[in-house]
Amino acid sequence: MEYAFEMLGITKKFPGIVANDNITLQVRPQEVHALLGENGAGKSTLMNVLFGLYHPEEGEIRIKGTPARIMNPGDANRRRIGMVHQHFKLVQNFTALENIILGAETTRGAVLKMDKARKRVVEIAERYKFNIDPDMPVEDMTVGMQQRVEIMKMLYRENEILIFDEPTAVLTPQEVDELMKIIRGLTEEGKSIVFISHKLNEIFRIADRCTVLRRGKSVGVVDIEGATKEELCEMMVGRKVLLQPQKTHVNPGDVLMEVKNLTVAGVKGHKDTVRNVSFNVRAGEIVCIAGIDGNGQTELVYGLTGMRKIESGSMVLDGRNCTKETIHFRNTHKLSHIPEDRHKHGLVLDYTLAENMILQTFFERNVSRCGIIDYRKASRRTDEMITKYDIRTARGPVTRTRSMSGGNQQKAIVARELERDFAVVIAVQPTRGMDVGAIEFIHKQLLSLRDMGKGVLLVSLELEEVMNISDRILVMYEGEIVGELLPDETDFRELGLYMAGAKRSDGRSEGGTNG
Amino acid sequence: MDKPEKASVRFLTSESAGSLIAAVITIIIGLLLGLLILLIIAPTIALPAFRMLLTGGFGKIGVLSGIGRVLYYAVPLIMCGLAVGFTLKTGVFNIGVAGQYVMGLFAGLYVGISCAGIFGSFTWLAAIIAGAAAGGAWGFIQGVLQAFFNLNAIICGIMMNYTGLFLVSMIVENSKGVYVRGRGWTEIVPDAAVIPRAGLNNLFGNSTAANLSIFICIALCIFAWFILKKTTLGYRMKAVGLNAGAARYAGISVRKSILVGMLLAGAFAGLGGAMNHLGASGTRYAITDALPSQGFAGISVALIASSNPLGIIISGIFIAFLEVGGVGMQSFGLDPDLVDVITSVIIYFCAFSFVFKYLYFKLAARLRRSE
Repeated sequence: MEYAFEMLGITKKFPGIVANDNITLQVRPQEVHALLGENGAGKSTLMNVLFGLYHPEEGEIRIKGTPARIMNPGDANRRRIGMVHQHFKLVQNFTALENIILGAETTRGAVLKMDKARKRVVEIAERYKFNIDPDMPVEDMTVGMQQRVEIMKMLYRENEILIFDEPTAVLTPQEVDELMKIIRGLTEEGKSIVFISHKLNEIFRIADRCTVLRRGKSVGVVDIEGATKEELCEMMVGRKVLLQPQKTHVNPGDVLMEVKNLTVAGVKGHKDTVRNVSFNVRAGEIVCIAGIDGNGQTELVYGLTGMRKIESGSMVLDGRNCTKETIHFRNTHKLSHIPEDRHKHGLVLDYTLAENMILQTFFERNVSRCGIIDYRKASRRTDEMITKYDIRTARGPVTRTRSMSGGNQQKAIVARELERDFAVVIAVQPTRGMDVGAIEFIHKQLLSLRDMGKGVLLVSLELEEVMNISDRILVMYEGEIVGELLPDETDFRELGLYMAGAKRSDGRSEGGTNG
Repeated sequence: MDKPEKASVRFLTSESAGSLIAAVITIIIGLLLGLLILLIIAPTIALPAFRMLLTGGFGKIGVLSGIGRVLYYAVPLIMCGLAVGFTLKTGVFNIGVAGQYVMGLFAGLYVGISCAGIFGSFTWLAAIIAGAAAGGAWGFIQGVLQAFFNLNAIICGIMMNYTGLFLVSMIVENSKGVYVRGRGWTEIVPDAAVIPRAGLNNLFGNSTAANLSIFICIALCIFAWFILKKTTLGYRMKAVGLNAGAARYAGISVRKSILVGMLLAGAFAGLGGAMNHLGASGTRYAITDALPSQGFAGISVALIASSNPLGIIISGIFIAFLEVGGVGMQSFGLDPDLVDVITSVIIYFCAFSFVFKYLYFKLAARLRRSE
């Protein structure tokens, strides 16, 4: 049988690590082939090899049976290979049409010939039933629409092999449905698809076959029909994993954090702001803020932690009004914060692990005395956390955090924040970039802290995480809380409607404030 | 490089070794560049003159006066280097060192000349403390402008340099008892205000001005190193310098850190100015509209040392060594301005050490990968 493309025995080494160890990926024509693996399993490296960004030490790429040398992304494009990146690469103030033709403009001399391009774009949109206005600026589009523009870019370039890198991460459940339909339509038109994901549900919905990577090696190719999630998960992680964390029932106690009519201004030039948000977090409760990225969650967290000024309203933490207090005050008065952006806020990358572990506590009695830091003590504490949280480092506490992998950096931050003295922890996507095993551990950790009577405010974009570990779900849409739901009484569909702004229940969110 | 050993590769690609190697490469290229200019301008005497540049700092064989002179020249260079390097650690490029230096120099002279009657034989101490205070204040003002009004550090620094320089000229011209009217310079510093020689004159001879201040310099560099390495203050400042976002997240005040950094840096530079002018007896300060070169040479001093305060001691002495050698080159009939050009080319070229550091690590990474 002739494959649409094959990557045979690809080996790519980096200093100290074999990112791809003799990996073979064979994609049949018109199939959706999933590429499953944890972070650091080698998915991105493999795709970068396919696009000529990395040149492998060993192995061969064949397209329709003929060996191909791909030295750079231009070669890949000439071989009709295209990719939709997780973070879209669109010019915000260009229209859909302008973005689609960017880099492949038809010109007469130095003058753009838009008519021809427009005709083709409209044709493509009709053929694949994309509901896209070619003259709409990208900045006015929803994320789902932007993704369709990205897909159209590939179709405009007549790509035959389409690669989707974690395409659902930024979509609502409804948009995911839409995308699945589009992908099906693409295969019917003769395209071959590589679908990179670590979400088992989606792979089972869309993929025909699946290649599983683990630690740089291919552990097998599975026909999705007849496979089970547990089986795939075990292949990916290398051991049995509890997909659904065990949750015991806990009666929430006193209110630990009370937020009333909170309004926070948006980042400059950003229209998302927090408007009049009220809720509370009680002891022994995991409250989850769900919503699509960019609906004010970031600003809400900034307001709560003091990183942005609260315009109006109030925030009471453990009985203290902290509305106007500094970040330092909140840090030292029982607020813990796992930040959204681990590189911008969570870590000083050029500090060692031990130095990072004392980021908010370096002035405390048990770390420093008379203004002099006891790094030996800090190292010892770090060692404890390395063991407890299974943080993998090259040189222990003196490892530069920059040299650590993303998942381990995240573990370090989570360890630091959960081991501090706090009443409420604000955890923004705490498991981002972690592998399944680590996610399981962090979820267990959050649940046990909740059982001990701490309050957890979880901000998450992962619906599965939201449904699995929260006690109460608040849905944010355009800076407001539009719904308060209980995980046992709702489902993905309903949650999705709230997240997309199609449904709201103002009455119930008021009720939550008083409860 | 046919078969590099693992351990040696690891050492050669380590941060500190890379900094050192890059510094040495930069210096060598800088020197070659100086030689090239010399060859173009004065080919007949180029080689002996260049030899003088490289060895003049040692003085004549058996006489240590050269080294004494180097130590005297090194004082302002080390202090200015420290003023640049210390703030670089907190993420601020302090280009206003020249202004802080002038302010310190002026305050030192003023106290030294006019307050000798009050402080007696400790006038020199009072004077250099005044210099540190004035420099610190000037640095602090710049810090306020940057931290609170978000002014561009470069523009702010340059403007503060000239404001400081002309402010000093204005005050000097209007200070009775300090300014010699009609001559455009200050009175001679009284002996009580001259920094003690601390026995260095016995070692290097009376012809050199090496004095106690070199020890103060070294002590302050160690002090700065200690602050950065061991204290909570240094921890804060470095966190701000490396990642202001993370520092803010952790509740560390970015503004306070910049202010403290600029205050201390200004004090270092001011002290350097005061110690330079009070180091030798019989010096005067002449009204000028040129910024002192030490302020800018300090940038080179700091960059060669990768802002490490202990490294700054060495790089400061090295640049001073070149300057002394440069003075020696004049004995070949070279124009003093030309000598300045050559030494300046070398000194300022050293500021490119970070470029070589970058290239070095890129090359090292490639070697490791191809291994």
